[in-house]
Amino acid sequence: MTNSAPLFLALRYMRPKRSFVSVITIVSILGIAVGVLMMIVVRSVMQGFEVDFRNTLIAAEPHALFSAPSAKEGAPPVMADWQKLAAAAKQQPGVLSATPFAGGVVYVEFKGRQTDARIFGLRPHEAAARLDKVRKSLLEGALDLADGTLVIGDSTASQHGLALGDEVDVYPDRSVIDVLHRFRNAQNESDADKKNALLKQIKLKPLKLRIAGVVRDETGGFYSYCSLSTGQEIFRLGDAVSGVAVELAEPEKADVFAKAIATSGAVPAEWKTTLWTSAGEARLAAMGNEQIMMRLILAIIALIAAFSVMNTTITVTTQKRREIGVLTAIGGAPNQITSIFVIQGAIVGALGTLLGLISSFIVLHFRDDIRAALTGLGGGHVNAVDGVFLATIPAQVRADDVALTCVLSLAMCLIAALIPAFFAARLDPAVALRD
Amino acid sequence: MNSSASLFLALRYLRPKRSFVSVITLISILGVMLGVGVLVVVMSVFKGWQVEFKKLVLGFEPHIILVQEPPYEGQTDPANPPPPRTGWRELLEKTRQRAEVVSAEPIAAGTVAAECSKDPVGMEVLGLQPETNNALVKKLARHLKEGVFDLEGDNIILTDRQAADLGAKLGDTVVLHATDTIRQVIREVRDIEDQETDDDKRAAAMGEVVIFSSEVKLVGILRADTAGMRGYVPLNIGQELFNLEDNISEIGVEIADADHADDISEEWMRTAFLPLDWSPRTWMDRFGAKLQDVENQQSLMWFLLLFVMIVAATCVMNTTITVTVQKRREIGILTALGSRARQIIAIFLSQAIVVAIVGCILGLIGGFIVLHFRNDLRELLARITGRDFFPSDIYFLSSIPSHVQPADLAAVCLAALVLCVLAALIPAWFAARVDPAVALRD
Repeated sequence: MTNSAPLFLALRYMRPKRSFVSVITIVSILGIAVGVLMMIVVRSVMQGFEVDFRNTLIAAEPHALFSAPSAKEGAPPVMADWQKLAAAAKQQPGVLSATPFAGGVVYVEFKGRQTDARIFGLRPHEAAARLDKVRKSLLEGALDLADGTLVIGDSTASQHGLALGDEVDVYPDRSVIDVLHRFRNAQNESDADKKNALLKQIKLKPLKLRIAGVVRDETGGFYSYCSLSTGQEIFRLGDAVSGVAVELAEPEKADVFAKAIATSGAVPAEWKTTLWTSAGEARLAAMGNEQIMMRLILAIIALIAAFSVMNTTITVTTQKRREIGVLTAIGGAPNQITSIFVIQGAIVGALGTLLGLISSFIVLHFRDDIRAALTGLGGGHVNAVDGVFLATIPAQVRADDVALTCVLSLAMCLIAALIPAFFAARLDPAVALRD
Repeated sequence: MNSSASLFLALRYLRPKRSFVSVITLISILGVMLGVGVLVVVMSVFKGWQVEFKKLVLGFEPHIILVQEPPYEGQTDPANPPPPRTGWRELLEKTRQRAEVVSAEPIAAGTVAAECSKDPVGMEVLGLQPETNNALVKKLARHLKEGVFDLEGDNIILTDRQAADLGAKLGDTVVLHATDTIRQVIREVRDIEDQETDDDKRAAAMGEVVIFSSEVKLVGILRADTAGMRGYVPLNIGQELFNLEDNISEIGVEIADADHADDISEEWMRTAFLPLDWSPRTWMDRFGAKLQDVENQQSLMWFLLLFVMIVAATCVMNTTITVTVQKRREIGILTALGSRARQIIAIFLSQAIVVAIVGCILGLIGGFIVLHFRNDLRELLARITGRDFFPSDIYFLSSIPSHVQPADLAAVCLAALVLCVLAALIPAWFAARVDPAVALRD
């Protein structure tokens, strides 16, 4: 049997034979189980939403982007030392690729209809890490990025009824604005000859590109792709580039990388650094806040569950007043008596946590079925979280989170049991036995 | 004293004199209090956010916008002709005469690419009439940060964020190109380039191209955090920009009670006050999704916090179990004396009700205290953890809002009461069924 007296007594006092103690013990265990269940399920689902969102961003956005300021009208493109930056970036640990790109906003025209698109001109062999990412959302065609071809998002493609092999006209945003400026200058010019000369300068040559592929916008981040030299041609950059795009092995550490490269001094002045997180900054921050609030609320559930344990311990210690008196009288040390009840609390806490743990995994496993059942009952409000309909509820169980939850719940139970046990052990045996 | 025996006994059993019962009762009360307090705080903040967001939106958004359908193009079915078209002036007059309408104004709205010292920025621009009784202009003018809200002459009023994006200061000239113009110019220039090979002829053709761009002076800057993200120009500039000639793009209607925008627009359609070729769009249509979102989160929270209450109720249940077992002999005596089971159940139920009521009251007090000091608490937290839990760029508001709704409070207290009573009912029911002979023999 057990050779420790406190453990022996703790187990004995829990036995249901003579009294009600077992019932309140069970109720306490249930309270803790509900608390642990809620903590794990809610945390996992919230974590799942955040991880999902982060993964979408990581898959769609360049992990770090260094972009040059756009050239002023008429001025030659700024030639900054992007080779140095790319080389410096490659020196950093965990960098998969650092490639030059030529990009910006363009108007895409097909059969007289226009839409605007954000375009990335990349060298296919150098930007393999980036293109491998994009390839996952490729719907049709190929991603070889031959010169004179364009890979476009599916929303633009369906808007224009574009198919592979169609030729579209592409105008850079900047040169359209330049044309507008020239028109204005010409209209403001009173002298007929000068006006004519100005009008003669107006040129808006589109670049004809063939559609070579279609990517899914939802996962591809609403970008179009072409080769670097095509991009340079569109934006009239000559040999200059719009910036350097970096892919990282560990995108979560993008800010560390950004800091390291900024201190290395390789980033030309006036260049802007954009990390993948900035595309969803507001939402990520909001999610972080929600998680903290949720943790607070869940901790309160655990606290109230611990109250239950405290109630049980108080009841048991009062029930066993005489026994405690006897134990003290025959020489039981206060810490022995305290440990009787603390062990009881620990058992309740452990059982409750275990039960909560098991049930939370069951709930998480059947979460989509549960939602379906709830939707059937409650008319469909359960679906929309952040206004987005999701086919499945994401969930991400993190071991450290689960461990923290269990430790928190156990610790609260122990403290809750310790307080009444401490007072019970300090009972005067004479008083206890006289009652 | 007490006329009800059950209540008398319930209160007596709560009394701390002889035993420990009081301590566990206190802990139960504490549990209920925490549950109620958290619910009150969370619900009030959610409600407050909803109220503030609504106020924010109504601060710049026209209550109802009337938009005319584009003219029907193509073959018309002679048996089913398209509805006759109603002029905007006629409708404007009719709208102004309605009692529920505060003001109705013509608007020329569209998207533009605006330019100053930096790269062009896309934005929505509203052309408004500079009339003194225009309720929309009046409510917009309230957000003025610097300059004047002057819609006479070639002026534009922007928000501070837009001005910063453009790199524009008060008094600077901003050039606006309508998005449609940009598309039109691309098309025309390309056609000319395709057709005319001769330089002079080309230049002549280019000279024919009309572009609708406007140079306007920045005369007023609004606060972006309360005034949305639009620019405002005089009506005639808007008409010029969007090539509307004498027409408008929409009629903006301000009504007395913005909450009834949906009802009013529905009524206008039902009673055929609105011609068939015009359709209304309310501020709720535009921002309803966001409000709905908050409501969804709120119901999710309700669901979660209900579990706080359930766990609190287990505390109450434990207490009742303990008390019923403690009072086993007394219950036996009462039954032997002829009390009914109902009466005995009532003893323990009233105990639970007392716990629930005291817990609710304390929870409400605690909740109100936390709500009162919510912004101080936030500052304290920010100072300790170095993290702002309510950044204004995410939640649009600079301080934590709160709106206490009595109906919510009542629901919270009712939920606490019902759960506590249910939790006490189970052990009380068993206790009342104790055989007096057995109870007294033990």
